[in-house]
Amino acid sequence: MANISKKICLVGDFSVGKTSLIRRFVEDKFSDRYLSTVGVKISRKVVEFATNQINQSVNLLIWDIEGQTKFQSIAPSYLKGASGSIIVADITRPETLESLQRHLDLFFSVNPQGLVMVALNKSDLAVEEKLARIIQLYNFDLHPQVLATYVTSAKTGEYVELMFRQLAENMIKPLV
Amino acid sequence: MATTNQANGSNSNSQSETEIQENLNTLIDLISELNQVEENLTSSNQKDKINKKQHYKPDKDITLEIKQEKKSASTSTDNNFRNKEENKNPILGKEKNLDSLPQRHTTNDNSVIEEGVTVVAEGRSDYEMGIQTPSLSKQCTDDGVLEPNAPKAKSLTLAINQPSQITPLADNTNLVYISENKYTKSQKSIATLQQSVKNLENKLKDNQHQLDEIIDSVNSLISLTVELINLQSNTSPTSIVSIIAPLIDRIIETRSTEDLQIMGKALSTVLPVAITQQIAATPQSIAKALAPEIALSIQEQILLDKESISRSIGPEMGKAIKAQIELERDAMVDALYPVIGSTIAKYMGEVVNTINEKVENALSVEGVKRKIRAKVQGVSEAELILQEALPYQVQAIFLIHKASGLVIRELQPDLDHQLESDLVAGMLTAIRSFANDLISDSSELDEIDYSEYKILLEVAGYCYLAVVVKGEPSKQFRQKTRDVLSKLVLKHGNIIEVYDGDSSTVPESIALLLEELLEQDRQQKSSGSPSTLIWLIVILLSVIFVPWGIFKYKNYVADRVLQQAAIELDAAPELSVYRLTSHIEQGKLILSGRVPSEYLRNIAAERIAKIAQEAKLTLENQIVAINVPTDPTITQEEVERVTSILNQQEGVAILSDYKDYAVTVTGFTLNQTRDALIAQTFKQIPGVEQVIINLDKQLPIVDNRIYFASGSLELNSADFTNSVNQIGQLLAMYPQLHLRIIGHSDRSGIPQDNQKLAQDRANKVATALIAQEINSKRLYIMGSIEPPPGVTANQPLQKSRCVRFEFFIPDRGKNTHNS
Repeated sequence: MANISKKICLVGDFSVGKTSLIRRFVEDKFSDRYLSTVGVKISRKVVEFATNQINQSVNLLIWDIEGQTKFQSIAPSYLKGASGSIIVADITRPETLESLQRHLDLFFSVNPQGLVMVALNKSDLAVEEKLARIIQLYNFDLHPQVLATYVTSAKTGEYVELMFRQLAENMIKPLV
Repeated sequence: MATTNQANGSNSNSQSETEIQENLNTLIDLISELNQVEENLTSSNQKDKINKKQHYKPDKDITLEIKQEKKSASTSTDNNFRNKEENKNPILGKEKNLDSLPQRHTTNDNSVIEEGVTVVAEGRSDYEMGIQTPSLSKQCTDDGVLEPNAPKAKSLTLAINQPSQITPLADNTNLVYISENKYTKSQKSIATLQQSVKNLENKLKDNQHQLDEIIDSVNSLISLTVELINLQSNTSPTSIVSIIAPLIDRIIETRSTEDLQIMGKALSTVLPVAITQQIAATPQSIAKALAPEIALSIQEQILLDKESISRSIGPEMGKAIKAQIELERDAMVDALYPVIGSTIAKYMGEVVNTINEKVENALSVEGVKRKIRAKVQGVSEAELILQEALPYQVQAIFLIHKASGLVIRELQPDLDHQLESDLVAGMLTAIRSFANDLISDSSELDEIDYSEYKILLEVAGYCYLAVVVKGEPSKQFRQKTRDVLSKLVLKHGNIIEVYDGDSSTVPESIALLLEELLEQDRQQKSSGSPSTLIWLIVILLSVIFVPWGIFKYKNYVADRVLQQAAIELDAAPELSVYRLTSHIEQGKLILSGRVPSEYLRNIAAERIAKIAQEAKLTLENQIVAINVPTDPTITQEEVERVTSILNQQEGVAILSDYKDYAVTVTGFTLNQTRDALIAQTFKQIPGVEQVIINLDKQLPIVDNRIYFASGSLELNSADFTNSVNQIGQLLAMYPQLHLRIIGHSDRSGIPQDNQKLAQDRANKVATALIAQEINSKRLYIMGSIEPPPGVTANQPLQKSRCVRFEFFIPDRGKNTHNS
């Protein structure tokens, strides 16, 4: 049993693929069906890795938080105590990309020390050139606590595992 | 040539049809060519006849001309024409007067034309009709050339001058030139062209006419058609229907593509009625048509107005459920079972718990109970103590970081049912946050109740304690959790505050504190185990069964007593024939039955008394002694026997009659004391219930005396008969009665004789009586010379000469001899 537990949250507008990303990471599965998450869903996955030749493991508690809609904003209380967060946007929907900054601000307002990954999801639905442009436009890597911006696809699994792992490792680092 | 254009211009005025114009243009071209040819011709032939043609040479351009009737003057519209005509010579004298007028130069030409035209006209009467164009005639008027009789003109003819001139030329020409040949040929072609133009124009005109006519007729037809349709629909609607039917759908289709709104408006009024009708006629089809859409439409309506559907269906739901229950109860039960089952289970659980509590309060003898149960179940007391924990059992204790929902420390005593602590903690945290956000930040979620499980939440500053409990935790337990949490916070508050998921930072003492909660739990137990319910049942059962057992035992004892009694009663032979029963009731042995006599009743009581005494019961003798109806014949005999015995006594002569249990006694008793004896004697006879005594105290007196004549023994038969009847009856009735026959004689004569006479007289009567079958033994005869009683000496002697009778009852044994 992992003796270190960390809470991470997935934040983003509705239907950007938060639940799918988690599903891909935890169960390595994908479904086209859209299931709206109500409230919160919590998943758990133990991530093991070696840091400085020491085998480490972290018990990731992944909070899948109901996406933000026009009518309902994300409850900040769900974000409390999260060590990290993955802010998700849907590259096929510009308005979700526009929301990224707002989500970032919200997360940092609750967890000033938190680490963040930005996932530009549904990369399987866009062509290369567009991807490149979007990555250029929405790059938050300059922010000190934003670890990276990845173009992910829950469908193909592209960058999903990597993103989660990196986040997990970075959350552990200060302790090592 | 320039003139061609002008002609063209006028042409275009008159004709709008471009086609025709084009044709004309080509014609004009042709004509101009022809004119050239003609010119050539003329130059070569200077003959006057041909001059005409030369005159007309300049005219070749003019294509339009108003042609009048032969007599009337024609006007040319073209000034050029006129100017050119000035040089021309009039040819026909007939029209010379016209020529004088400078303006009418043209008329010369016209007359020439006429000539030509007439020639041409022969073959082209149709062309003559020409085109009547108002524009043309107008133009004529503008020029002021038009003659007053111009209106007479039947037609304004589009005439080509050239051909008309050419024709006469052709007619007249006897000279044959090559060019002439050529000319003729072209003339012919022109003719055909003209023909075709004319045809075209005609057709056009026709068409236009037809169109106009059609329009007119259609207009007038519309009203007609309407009427026709009306009429037709009245007379034979089916035909109308068959005509219109195939068109209707197209009409509607077209119309609805044109204006959907109007169409909708028009149909909207009819639709509800139509639907109603259709539903009435064939409800199935409507149902089929609508069915697939109903679900969708309901969904749509819910989207539009969430409340409306529930509002409209709501009031009917109750009824619907009721109806469904009536219709198919099982289906309803199945549908509701999952809900009701758990509800009832929960409710029952609560009820049992309340019962438990109450029972506990009533019987607080835990220790005793446990000991007894330990013996009964054959288990150790310690084990029982554990089992008593059943009412509430701590399944898990989580110390959770308030903000992140990470588990700081957990305790799960039950190893079989380990909960996913991380997820549980996370979800609890989410639920807490949600509840706080939703309701109020200041209030706290204390408890989550999940049927038989409860999750108690105790919240401190940076952490909270979640205790999963199965069953109903006590108040003390709640207090304890609070205490434990406050201790935790006091001791380790700072560690908890900065907890970031690393469990190694959590001191072991936290776990120890939490374990305290489990300990507490065990000490608390005891209370309200369902076994108290078992005790209740045991008591209830004993309440039922103990009296029942006592009752059974009593019954057993009673049975034995009764059995003895029965044997005892049987043992007495005089009682054995009677059905005597005994039963026991409230400490009494009761005998019942019937016996014919008090005696037997007493015997029975005596025999049973001993048994009753042994069983310590008081005896109650309810045996009834009753009269058994006796045999009437036997009673009768007995009555007779008693009667005869009584009759043997002194001074008794009785008769008895037994009837209906009553004895009627008649007769005589001389001793009054005997009456009571007689009555008692008869009463003692079984079957005699009543004795009626009707006895005379005196024997009957016979008044009749038999009188004799003086010194005679002769019987007066009348006297005798009277006496005998009376005496005979009485003697017959009472055998005990005897009769004394006493003879008397009068005092006259010798007393000795008289004595004998008296004796004889008595004998005489006795003999007569014996002759009447009266027993002689019952007769006692004596004679006396004394006068009979009641007769004195001074009475006539006859009264003394008689025999009289006296009844008597002789003493026993003494009999008649003695007296």
